[in-house]
Amino acid sequence: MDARVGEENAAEENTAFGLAAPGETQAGTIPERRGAGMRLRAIARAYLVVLLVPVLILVFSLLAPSTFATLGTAQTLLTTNAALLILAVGQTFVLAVGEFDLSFAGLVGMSGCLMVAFHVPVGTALVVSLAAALVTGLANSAFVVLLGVNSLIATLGMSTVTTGIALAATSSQTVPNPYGGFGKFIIYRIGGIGVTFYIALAAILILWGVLERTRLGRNAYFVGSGRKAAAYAGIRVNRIRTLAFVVSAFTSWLAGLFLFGQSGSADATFGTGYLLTVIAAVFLGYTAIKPGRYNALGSLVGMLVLAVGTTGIEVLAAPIWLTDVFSGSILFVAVALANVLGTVQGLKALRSVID
Amino acid sequence: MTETLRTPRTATRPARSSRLARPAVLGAVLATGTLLLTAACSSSSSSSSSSSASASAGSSSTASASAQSSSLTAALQALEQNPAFTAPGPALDAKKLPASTPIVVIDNTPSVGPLEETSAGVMQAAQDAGFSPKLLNGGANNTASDDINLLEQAVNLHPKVVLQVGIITALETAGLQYAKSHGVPVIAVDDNAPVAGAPGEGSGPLASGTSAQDYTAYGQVLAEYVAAQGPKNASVAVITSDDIVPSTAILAAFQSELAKLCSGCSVFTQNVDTADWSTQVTPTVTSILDAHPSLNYLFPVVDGMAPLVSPALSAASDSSLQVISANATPGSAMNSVKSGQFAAEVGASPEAIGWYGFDAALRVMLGLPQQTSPNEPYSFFTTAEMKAKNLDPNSVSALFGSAYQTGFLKLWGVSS
Repeated sequence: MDARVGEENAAEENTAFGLAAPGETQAGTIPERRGAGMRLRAIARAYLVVLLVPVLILVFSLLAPSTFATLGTAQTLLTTNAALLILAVGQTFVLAVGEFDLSFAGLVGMSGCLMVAFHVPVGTALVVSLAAALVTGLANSAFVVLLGVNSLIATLGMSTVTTGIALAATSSQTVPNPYGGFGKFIIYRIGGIGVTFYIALAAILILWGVLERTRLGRNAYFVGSGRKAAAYAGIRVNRIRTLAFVVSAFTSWLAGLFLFGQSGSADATFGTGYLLTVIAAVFLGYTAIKPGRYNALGSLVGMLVLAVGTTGIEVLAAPIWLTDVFSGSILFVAVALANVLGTVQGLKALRSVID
Repeated sequence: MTETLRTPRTATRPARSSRLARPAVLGAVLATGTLLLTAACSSSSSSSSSSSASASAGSSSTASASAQSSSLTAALQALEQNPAFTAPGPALDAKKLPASTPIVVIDNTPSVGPLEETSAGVMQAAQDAGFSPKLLNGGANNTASDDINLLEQAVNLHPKVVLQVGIITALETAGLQYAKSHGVPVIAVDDNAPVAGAPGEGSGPLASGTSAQDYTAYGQVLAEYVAAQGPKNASVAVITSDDIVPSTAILAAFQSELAKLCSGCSVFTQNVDTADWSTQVTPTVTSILDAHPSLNYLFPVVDGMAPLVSPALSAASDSSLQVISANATPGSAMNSVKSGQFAAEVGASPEAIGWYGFDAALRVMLGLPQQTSPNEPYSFFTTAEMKAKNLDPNSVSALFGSAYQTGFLKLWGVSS
C-alpha cells in the first residue's frame, strides 16, 4: 500500500476555504427524492456563475458599445488569457486531488529564464526548461507525498526557490528571446485568436475528459474527497498525488513558454502576478457546472468571468482599484451564493425527509 | 565584503515511515540539488550577489584637484534651478491634425505615483494641443499578458497613435507586433533612455518613439558630486536593482564617470531586486553601514528606496555619511533631501516626460522625422539649496517649474 504517509482526510483541506467536499452540499447529502423546484435550484446553482459571463459582456457592451463590443476585443481577451487558462488546468487537477500547488508562480518565470540561460539551440533549451519544470514537480511531490509536508508550505517554498533560480539565470534582468522562430509560433494567430489559446483550450478539454470520463479522474476525485478511504479502496493515492504535481509543473512550464514568446523576453517575475488570479479562477470554477467539485469546464468559466470583468473595467478607463475590488469580490460573492443555494437546497431536502 | 542575506529555512516534518523516509529524503535532496546545480551553472552572479570594483585608473585632467573640484561644483550649481525648455526637434504645426484625431493613452501602472504624473502630463499635453485623448487604465495584475492585452485593446480602438506609460516595451513583443500589423504607431513613455536616431528612439524597432529621463546624465552628475565634495579616496556603496532597466544605465554612467574624475575612489555594489525591497533594503543598508564604518557615500540608485533606506540611516551614528540618489521624485524622496537625510538628488519632472512623449507622438502623426534631441532637461538638488529656496518637496511645479508647457505649445504652433 503506497498511501500510508500523510493521509489525513482531504475533505478537511477542502473545507479550509468554506467549500464542501466533492459530492456534498454545504448542508449535507441530498436525498434522492427531489422535487422539480429543487432540480431547478440545482441547475441554477450550477449555471449561476456561467450566466455571469454573458451578463458581464452585456453590461460592458452597453456601457462601451464602440470599444468593448467588438470582435477584436474578444480575440484579444482570449489570446492574452491563454497563460491564465493553462495554469488553471494544472491547478484544477491539483485541487481536485486535495492539494495546493503555489510553486507555479515561480515556475512560470523559471521556465522562460532557463530558455535563455545557456545560449543553446531552441530544442535543447526547451528540453532543459521542461526537465527543470518536471524535476520541480517531482520535488514538490517528494516533499508533500513522501515527507508529509503540508502542500501549501512546501510549494510556497518551492516557488521562492524557483524564483531565485530564475533570477540567477538572468542576473535579475529582462533577457530578450533569442529564438525568433519560436516567438513567431507563440504569437501566431488563427482566426484572429492566438495559437496559445487553442493549446490551452485543448488542455482544458483533455482535463475535462480525464476527470469526467476516465477511471483516473474518478480516482482523483476520490483521493480529493478522502485519502484514507481511497487508499482502503485500493486506489494508488500517492501516485495520483504525484501525477497532479507533475501535471501542474508541466502546465506551469507551458504558461512560462507562452509568456516568454508573447512578451519576447524572459523575466523571473512573470508568474507572480498570476498567483491569486489563477486560484480565483479555479475557485470560481468550483461553483460552476459541477458545484462543489473542482472541474475543468468550471475553471474555463472562472477564467472567462475574470477576463471579461477586468478587460471591461480597463476599456471603461475606470479607476484601477475597481479591478482589484472586482476580482476579489466576484470570488467571494460567487462562493457565497453557491453556499446559500446549497444551504437552501439542503434545508428543503431535510424538510422533505421530515415530512 | 558585503553580507549575503539569507531567507529563513522552513522546517520539514520527519518522515513517519523509515522505509519511505530514505528514498523520500534522497529524492528531495536530489531534486533540490539538481535545481540548485542548474542555477549555479546558469549564471555567474545572483540577485543577492555583491561585487566590488575599484573605480581605478581614470585619467584626470592636468588641472589640479582643487581646480577640478571648483569647476565641478560650479557646473553642479548651474543645475540647481528649474530647467529651461529645450526643444526636442524643429517646430511643427499641430493644427494640421484635426481635433478629432483618435489618440489613446495607456496608463499601465497607475498605482505608481510618478507614473501617474507622467500619464497626467501626456493627457494634459494632448488636451492643451486641442485633442481629446482616450485613457485606458490597466496594471491590475501587472503581468506581461496584461500589458499586451491593454495595448491590443488600445489598437482595437483604431487610433492614430498609442502612447503607453510605464510599460517596458521589451516585455510586450506580441502587442507591439499586433499594433504594427494594424498600422498603429506606439510611443513608449518612460521606458528606455531616449537615443536620437536609434530605432524607436531607443525603445526598439517595434516602437515609433520614446521619452524618458536622461539616466546616463544622472549617473554622471552624481559622480561629479562625489568627486567635487568627497575625499580623494571616497568610498561609495551603491544599492542597485538590476531588474529596473534604468538602474543599469545610471550605475554604469556613475562608475565610468567616477573612474575618470577620482582615481582613488572606490565603489562597491549590492543588488536588491524590487520584489525584495520591502524586506531587504533596510537590513542591507544596516549591514553595509556596520561593515563599512568609514563609508563616505551611500547611493540607492533609484530614490523609490528612500522610505526603506531612511530607517537604517536613523539608527546609524555616523553623521558624515552622505546619501545621494536619482530621479528626484516629489514626495518622500525629496522630503529626505530637504530634511538633510539625503544630501543630493538629480532628476526631471515626471509630468514633462509626458509632454516630451506627446511631442514624439505629434511628429509620428504628422509624418515628421524623429526628435533630434529627445533627452529631457533635469535639475540637481542639494539640502542647502532646498532649504535656501524653501522648495516644496511635494510640488512638481515648485521643483521643476513649468517652462516646458509654454515651450511646447509654442513649438507646436498652438500658442504664440
